[in-house]
Amino acid sequence: MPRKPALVLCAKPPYPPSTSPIEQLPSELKLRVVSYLTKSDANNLAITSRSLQDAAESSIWSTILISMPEKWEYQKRLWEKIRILGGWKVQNKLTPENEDLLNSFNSTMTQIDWSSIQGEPYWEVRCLKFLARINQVLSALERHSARISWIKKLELDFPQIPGDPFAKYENLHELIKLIRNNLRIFKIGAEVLDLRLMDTNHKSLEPCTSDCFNHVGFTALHSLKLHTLDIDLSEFYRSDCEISRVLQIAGDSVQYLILGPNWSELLGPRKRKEAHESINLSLLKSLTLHHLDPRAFPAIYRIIKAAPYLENLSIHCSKDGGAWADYSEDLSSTEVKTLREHNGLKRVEWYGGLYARWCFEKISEEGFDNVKITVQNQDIGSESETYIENILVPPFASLKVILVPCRTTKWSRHLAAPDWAKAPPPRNSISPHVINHLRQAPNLLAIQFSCLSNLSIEEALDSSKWNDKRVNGVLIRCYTNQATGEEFYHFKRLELLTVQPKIYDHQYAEKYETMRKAGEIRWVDHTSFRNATVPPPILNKVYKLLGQSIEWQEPGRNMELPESAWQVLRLWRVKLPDKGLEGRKMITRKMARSLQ
Amino acid sequence: MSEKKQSVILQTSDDEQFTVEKVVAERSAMIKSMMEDLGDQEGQAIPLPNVSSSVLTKILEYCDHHKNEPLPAPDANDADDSRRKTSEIGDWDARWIQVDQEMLFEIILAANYLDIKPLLDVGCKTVANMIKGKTPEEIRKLFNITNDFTPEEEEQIRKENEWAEE
Repeated sequence: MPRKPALVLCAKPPYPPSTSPIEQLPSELKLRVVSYLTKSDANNLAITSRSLQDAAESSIWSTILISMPEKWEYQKRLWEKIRILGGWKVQNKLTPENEDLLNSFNSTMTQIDWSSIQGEPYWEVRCLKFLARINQVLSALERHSARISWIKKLELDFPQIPGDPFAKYENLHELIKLIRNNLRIFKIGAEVLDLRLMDTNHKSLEPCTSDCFNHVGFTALHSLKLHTLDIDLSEFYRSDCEISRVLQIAGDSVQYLILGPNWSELLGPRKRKEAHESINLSLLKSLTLHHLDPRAFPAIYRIIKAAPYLENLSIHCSKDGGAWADYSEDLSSTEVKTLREHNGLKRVEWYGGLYARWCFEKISEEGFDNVKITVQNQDIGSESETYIENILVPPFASLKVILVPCRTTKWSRHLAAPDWAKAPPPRNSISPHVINHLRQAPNLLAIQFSCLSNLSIEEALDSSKWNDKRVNGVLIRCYTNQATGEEFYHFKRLELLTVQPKIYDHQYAEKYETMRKAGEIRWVDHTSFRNATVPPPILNKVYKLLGQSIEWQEPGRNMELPESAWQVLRLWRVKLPDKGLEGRKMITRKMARSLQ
Repeated sequence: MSEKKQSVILQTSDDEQFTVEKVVAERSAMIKSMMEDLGDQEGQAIPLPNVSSSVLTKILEYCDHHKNEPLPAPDANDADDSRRKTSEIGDWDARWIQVDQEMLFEIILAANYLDIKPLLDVGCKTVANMIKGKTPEEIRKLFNITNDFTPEEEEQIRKENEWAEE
């Protein structure tokens, strides 16, 4: 919108120099204005005058990223320069000249010619750069101490440089000491560079067995304001963060906990009993676990037990989930019960390969007490998928919405595929097995495909937005006759794409756009009354008698139909043959039509 | 009963009185809570000592246009903070806020005082849009800011702030 305020520009500011209105705004409003600025705009504002500097710097200094990205800004030219300087040796100190040199390469390296670089010196340049970076930030904070209080988030990629002569972490300690009491979000990661591929002896990545928080001087005492703790170590990284200390730090303040270490620390049998007993995670709302190893599961149960207000549990197993194949924990144990009967848990996300999914199915078979929403990555081929025939429906009463965010190859579900799994069901029908599943999930209202995994129930059920968001899904309605036990299922499926985008050809986007612009939203009805698809004329009659529009968009279960409507359904149905409820013995539409 | 209490009287700093439809006045969380406190006292004017009549006229125009929209939740937290930041100024709002700078900042101050969150956002976004893409010198000129930095200080601050971003 920048052109519109341009008119304001023309207006002559009627102020004498000392009373610029922007300078006179209360600081909270200055902060609000600055919150809409990018960092570079904020930087321009910061140097206009002293009265605006602090406010402008609030956005600049809110996040500090100290990292060793894989592609560090780097220039071949610099590399040449360093080489000319006579090789780079471990013994090199971070002298002022070196530091200037390192600070000088600002432009981004586009391509590293790895073949021309011996691994070790390159690594050392990066380590030096890391230390120089810490010094920079520290000196900027010291020069203008107001900046310290703006820092809410620290992302620290923690390099492990044991035994090296220049890894003096004093400055890092100093930096963390300045900001640790004010931190809200602390993300600690480690170098992910895969040096195993290089044939040098990279002792520089040896695991550091002590925990990294201790290493940087951050303890439970300093985490009072911390609400997010993110430990993001790679799956292959061998350094363990000592979990019990992490939990101590998370303690009474952290609401979002993300753990992604190698889980071996939790696995040793001697650790299993003693650890975490005294931990109380009283504010924890969300727990995310990466690279979860099934053998760490018992420990996870204990963490969950210590978090009475936990609402979200997100588990990401390794891609193939192979480790879960041998998992044979007794699923009726008290530990699993902790998870199932958790009072607060409303949402369970589960990502992982086939074997990990098996485990989830086993756990969810017995149901959860309070979970309302599950996020499952299932084998969904494309956005055109709108059938729920292949979706695992965990059978428990509190479940309201299933989100299926992931796309993987279709039809590779682990079940020995019965007939109905091999193809979508006939148009407008509902397979008997789907109904069997739904009976066991009596409050399930919707299943959504290709959606964002972080939707709330309300957002997921707001089907008016589905078309815009390009999600597909099924809304479920079920009418129940309390007296006779008869059930009439009616699904609405969004026919988002008449074109099947299984192969993303160039026409697809175009066709989709035209459709979207035309505001064309087509809903498809799927119905089932005693295992037969209800034809449109009957359906219309039923809704007329019910006194509602057939174009409903609010799902519901256990709804009521007037007796006259049941009668219409019965009279129509009784003319059709009944082949029982097993397998796919559907009544074809042709048969149904001929009998109207 | 609700028939009778459809309007409310607001009194500005320059002692002008405005009779305003209740739904319009309720855009302001501050007036809303004041009305709740006052209860059913007929004809009682609500004093707004920080708002002049010209600014109130302008703001009431905004409130009237938005009177049928849902009120933002009273404890709007960080979660919708990001939504607030990404949403653009609406067309009508953008036209409405084309005023001179004095009025713009008075609207922002009044919106803050009256606690009209969406209006405050429109105002602050407008100021932010004015700053966007300008050099420090252009910003100073635009807002009539006096530079109290030496060129060396300026250079130093710029450099240090760039370090924050790396």
